[in-house]
Amino acid sequence: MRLEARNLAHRYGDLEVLDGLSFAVGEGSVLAVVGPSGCGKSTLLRILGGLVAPDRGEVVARGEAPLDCLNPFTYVFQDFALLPWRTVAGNVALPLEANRLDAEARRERVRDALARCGLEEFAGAYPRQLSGGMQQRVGIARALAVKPAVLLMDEPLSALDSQTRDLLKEDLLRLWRETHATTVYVTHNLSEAAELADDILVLSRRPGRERARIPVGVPREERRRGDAVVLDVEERLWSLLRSEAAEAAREITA
Amino acid sequence: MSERASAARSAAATGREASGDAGPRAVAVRGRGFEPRLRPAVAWLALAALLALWQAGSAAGLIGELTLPSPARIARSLGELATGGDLWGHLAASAGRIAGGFLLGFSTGVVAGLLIGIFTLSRSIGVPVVAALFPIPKIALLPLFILWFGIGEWSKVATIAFGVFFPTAVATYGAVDAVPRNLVRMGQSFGLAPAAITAKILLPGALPGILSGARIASSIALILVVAAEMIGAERGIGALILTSGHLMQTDRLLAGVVVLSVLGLVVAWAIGALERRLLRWR
Repeated sequence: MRLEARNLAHRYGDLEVLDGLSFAVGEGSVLAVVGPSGCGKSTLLRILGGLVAPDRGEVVARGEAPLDCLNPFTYVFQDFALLPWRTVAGNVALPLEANRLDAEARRERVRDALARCGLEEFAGAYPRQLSGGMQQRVGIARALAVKPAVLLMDEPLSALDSQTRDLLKEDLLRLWRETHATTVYVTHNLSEAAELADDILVLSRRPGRERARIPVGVPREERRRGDAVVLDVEERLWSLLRSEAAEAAREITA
Repeated sequence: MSERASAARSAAATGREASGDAGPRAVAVRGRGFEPRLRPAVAWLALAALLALWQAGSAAGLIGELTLPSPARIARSLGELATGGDLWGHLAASAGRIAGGFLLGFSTGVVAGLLIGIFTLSRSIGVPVVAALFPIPKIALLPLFILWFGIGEWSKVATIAFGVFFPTAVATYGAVDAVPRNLVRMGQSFGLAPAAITAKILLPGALPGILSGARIASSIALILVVAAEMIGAERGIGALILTSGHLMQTDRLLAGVVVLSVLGLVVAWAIGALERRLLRWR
């Protein structure tokens, strides 16, 4: 699916968080959204998936979702959002229970999603028994199980330590390779954006507007941490954001 | 002063002169934080010692037999009540009232708490009503309930149900409020219907809080059943205690108190077992 945001604006009371934001994400491509803290990144993501109604503007999806897709707009959350009283398999099965799948098809989907994320042996474990990285793998498996058309990822690696983060990046690349899901990836981590995305949307300080849009150029599968192109993009992002970030940090939020 | 003393001590320990302060010194351990532990052997020993002291005091005549009968005397009285007396009849009457009142008050309390926790309208109505009625000592309403429902079982059951309802409702909506909103949003983002979100996210997420509310509610039920039985009942542990008091049978009276204590422990244990079963995931 191709996703288009048109002239989005949103405010919480007196706080204007987004102001006239328009962009498009091509079918199967990964758009990273970066910006200083409080620039409305999370609000934008909620609007894109229909969890918040924008004050102004609209989100348009073009193209058909795959036939076996159960939840076209699917989130991966920063804090994983796993149900602690359900096992790994139970968490992955949760979104499938909302649909008209018979028990066997549901089990098959869960099995498949767990296998793709390397979680087969943890099917019966509870989230608290798993490391943060494994918990986020469960979050990814849950998203995979519904065969999403659009993946909306809200800082999916931010709660993890840096080594785990590097490992999970490989999982994300595989996820995109296998699902071809159009992805909007919100992060404050510039190297994550430079390593993982096809395009990077840089937002200004609140109220969030488009500051720049940077295509990374080299296909994501061919990039490695520390590659010149990655470092170069990271450097450009930082030069765009440095003063904004400094100003945002000095702001008093109500 | 003490610093210098310990410096001297460690200097002595390392066999150095205390002339300079550059010598190597072992860092003294200053504590690991307070870590009180419960040692079961000590607990049982202390309990046994208390009973032995009490028994010895009674045997020596320091404690009047009528004022406070000895543990042995209370135990004998309890045995008589259990074998020849009507302990089981009294117990059944009390347990039946507790069960009826608790089930009624708990189930309605959970439903009310869920409504307050989910809907704006019911929250706007429910919170002030609960806040206004919660502080009433529910036993004060027994006379009114007797007028409404008669002196029989229903007035007592209603008093207990009323007393159980409020702490349950408060615990439930507090527990629903404490379920992370992100989990609810997750459910919505996967297209779960509101009923499914309630059943699969809010209710299980609130269960720990609801069960600790059940603990509080059960102890309130125990207080209320005794109080209600003292006001107007022929059977029940409360009635047994009251009539024993009138007859100055303090041993029977205390036997009744022992039964209440055991009843309370059994209920607490049952809720604990339920928690261990339902909250294994914690």
